Amino acid sequence: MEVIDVRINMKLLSRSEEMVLLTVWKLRDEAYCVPIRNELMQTTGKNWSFGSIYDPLERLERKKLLESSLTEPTRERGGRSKRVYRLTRDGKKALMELKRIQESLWQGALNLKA
Amino acid sequence: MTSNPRLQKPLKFAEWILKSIHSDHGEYTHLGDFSEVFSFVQTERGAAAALFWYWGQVVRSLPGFAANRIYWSVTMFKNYLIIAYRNTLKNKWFSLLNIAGLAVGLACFILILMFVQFEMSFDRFHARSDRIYRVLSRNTERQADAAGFSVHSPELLAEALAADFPEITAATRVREPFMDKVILQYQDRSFYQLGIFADTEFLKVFSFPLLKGDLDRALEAPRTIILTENVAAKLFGDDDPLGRIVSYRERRREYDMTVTGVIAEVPRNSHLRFDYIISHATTVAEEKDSYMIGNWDVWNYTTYVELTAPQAEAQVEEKFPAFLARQGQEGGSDEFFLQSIEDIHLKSQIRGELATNNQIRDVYLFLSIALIILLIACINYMNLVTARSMTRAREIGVRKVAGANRRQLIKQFIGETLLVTFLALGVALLMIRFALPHFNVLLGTDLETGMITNTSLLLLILGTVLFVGIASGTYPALVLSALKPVNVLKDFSASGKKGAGLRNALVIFQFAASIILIACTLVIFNQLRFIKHQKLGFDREHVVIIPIREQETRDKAEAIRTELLQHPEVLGVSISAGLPTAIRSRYLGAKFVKDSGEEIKTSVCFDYVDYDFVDVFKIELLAGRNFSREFGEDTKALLINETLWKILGWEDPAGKEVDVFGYNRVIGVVKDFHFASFHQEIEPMVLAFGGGHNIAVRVRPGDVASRVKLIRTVFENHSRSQPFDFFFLDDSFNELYQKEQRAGEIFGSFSLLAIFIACLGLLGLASYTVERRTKEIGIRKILGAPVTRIVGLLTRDFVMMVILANVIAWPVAYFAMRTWLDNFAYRIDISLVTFLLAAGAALLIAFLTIGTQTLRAALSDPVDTLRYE
Repeated sequence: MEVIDVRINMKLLSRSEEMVLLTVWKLRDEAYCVPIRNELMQTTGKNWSFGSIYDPLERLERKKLLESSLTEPTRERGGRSKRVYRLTRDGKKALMELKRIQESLWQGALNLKA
Repeated sequence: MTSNPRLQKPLKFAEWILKSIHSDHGEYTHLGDFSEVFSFVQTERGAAAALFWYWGQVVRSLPGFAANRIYWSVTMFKNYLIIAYRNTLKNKWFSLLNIAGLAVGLACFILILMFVQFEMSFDRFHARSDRIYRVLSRNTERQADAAGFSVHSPELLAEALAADFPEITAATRVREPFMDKVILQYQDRSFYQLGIFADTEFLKVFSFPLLKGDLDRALEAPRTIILTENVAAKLFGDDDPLGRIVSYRERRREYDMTVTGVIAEVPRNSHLRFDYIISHATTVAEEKDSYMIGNWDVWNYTTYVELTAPQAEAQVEEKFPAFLARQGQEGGSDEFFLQSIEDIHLKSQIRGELATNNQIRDVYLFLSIALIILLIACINYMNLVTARSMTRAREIGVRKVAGANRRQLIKQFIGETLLVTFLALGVALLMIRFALPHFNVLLGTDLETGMITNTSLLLLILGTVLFVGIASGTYPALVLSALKPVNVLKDFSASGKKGAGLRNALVIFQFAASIILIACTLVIFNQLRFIKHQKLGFDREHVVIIPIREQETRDKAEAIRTELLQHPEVLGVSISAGLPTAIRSRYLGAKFVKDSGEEIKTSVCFDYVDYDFVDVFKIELLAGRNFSREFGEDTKALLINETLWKILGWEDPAGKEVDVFGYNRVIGVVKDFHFASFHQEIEPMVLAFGGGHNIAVRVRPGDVASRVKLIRTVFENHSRSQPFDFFFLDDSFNELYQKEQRAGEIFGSFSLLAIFIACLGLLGLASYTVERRTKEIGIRKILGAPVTRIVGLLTRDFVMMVILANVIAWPVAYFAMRTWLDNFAYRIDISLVTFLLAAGAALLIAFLTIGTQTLRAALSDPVDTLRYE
């Protein structure tokens, strides 16, 4: 049963979704747009537009891999709330599954001589 | 966020853009994210860089947003169009009512707009029209009109003003010929023409383009004349008019004139109207001995000045008293004022105007009537659409369920209304095309269809259409978009009742407006009928008037009279200056002595009449005798009227000594007759013995054409040069009330239109009501209700509305008409009958309109109506 689940998720997850999902997990409680974007920019060394964060976040939430909540508005943010994301159980499962697939794919590849 | 005040605004603006293109379900967490990064950038790289960054984000987000928007609006627009088209076809009857109502309203309004635009354009075609002023004079003693104003000034004034005032760049004087119509003749072609005398400045101050001739010299020499293109063509055909000689003939003058120029036809919207201009030098040369030239006391001219700037008006007016003093005219009772020529047509009602002017009040009146009709048409639309909302309810429900928000629905319905309005505009333009000739007859104008292409008018029309579309679309849009999907999808029959109260109020308003117009029409026509049937004190029928326009005719007048009297068809001939319909001359210094010895100085109206005046016009003598050929000394004798007799209180008026401009004896008293219009009370009047310039012929009643032919033959036997023209006394009497007649016809036509549109609406509502209550009617019939009961049931509401409309309409119409009637010294009382008639008419029309619908419903077979489910 688990196998089928992952296959569906694999099909639907794009590369950027995967990266955003992973970053949300890593950031834990502080996972909202700005730190996610900073993190991704640092790791990849490329500029990520806001849209390229919002879109995957929204899609992931629709797929029930993420869930979100609003915080209290703060002055720093011009009196606006944050939308903070957390992984759902499905999200975690999907990430684990992805990791497993990646690793199994990579297995043996590094041992080959170029 | 930034605390730098200089950056606050651009930042707020950028934020606003983001906010409006992405609502984020109203939570705006995105904006928070942006603010956070903004603060970060600000601390790292400064406020300016941060702002730059923020704007960069905004700009980059726009293309995607725009593409998205366009895609969806095109898709939705296509859908709206299809739905609107299907709806129009599905409800053909309603669409027809809607478009017809709006089209009539729009056509009406556009016609009036054309009229107003034309009226407002008067005298604005002159290049410097805002700086050209007419000099008005006021003399409280001479009393040219009620306020003492006159358009006349002395011949000297123009030159003196131009020399004396630095603010006046040019001044020109204009005079009318002594006769209203003058004969211009070239070889065997002769025509009556209207013209003016003017000096050399005239063509420089005013922009009447000279097509041929020398602008500086055309009006320089005596006996020179400029003709308009048409007159030149009539007289000379294709030949070059310049240098040709035309003969100019009026009653006492006959000159040969050299044509020195041709000007373009005078535009219709000019208060100065003429077919020719004769040089002022002609008057100077030919009237040397007359008192007219170089005299401060004779006022025959109209003076126009061109100022350096429009603002100089007040300055110049201020300096007039000092100016008059310098001219040796101080201490007189004359005052001078300036009047912009742009104001003449609509705001000036002074005696001696060169043209009949209109009143701005009338323009506003027409405009408000047109607005009312347009409003009635809008109301129709609103009523019909909201009443039909039931048929659209399911569509709206589905749209809402599919995610349409209220704003989209409102847009959709207003858009539909605009579509219908533009369709109606097309129909309206067609209507205008065919109605314009009738409209011109109605208003006495010469509007042309081409005038509609005027840019400002087109913009106004477009604005009106948009306004009508939005005004009449908004209410239905609000009602329809407020429907709750749950209700309409579950039970869609309940929704039509919504807004019924407002709908009824609107119908009441429509009918109130119609009833007011009907009542006004009735009162106006009643007053006109009263005037026509009122005893005038003289007999205005069967009298033909031939104006004497030339010296030859004047010399032969007596011979014409003698020959005419030989024919049995001619009952009498009078050669008089005055006609009983128009005795307008006034003398202020008449002196009378009462029986008590008290001397009375009063103003009297007067005119010159001959021996036959009293008999020909069948005026009754109350005392004394008429002028008679048997008494040699009648040349200094007077007849007075009843009113004057009453003032003087003489026991025996015959033979009384008086002093009225050289006349010294009263020989008789005539019964009062209406020698002015019914607007004025009958004033004291004297008839002085003398000749005149009208040959009045009383003919035996019968074949009019043969009588006129007879008179013409006799006239032409004697007078060889004056072309024969004539009018009936009856017509000149009717002309006094032309304005009232026209007002009546205008109110009549507009009330017809108003009630027509109102009926369209009523028809729609009635058929809707009937449709909605089909089942109820069926059940009632099965339970035994008779047809009459059902008709009554369906009609009752509408009749109530019309009755309520009367309650509103009566007081309004009453006060409006009382004000109008106050213009008449002799008038009818407004009777209740008038109002009952208006109410009855409205009720009857309403009843007939809805009757067909209700009757059909009442007669329908309940088996059919109840089976439909």
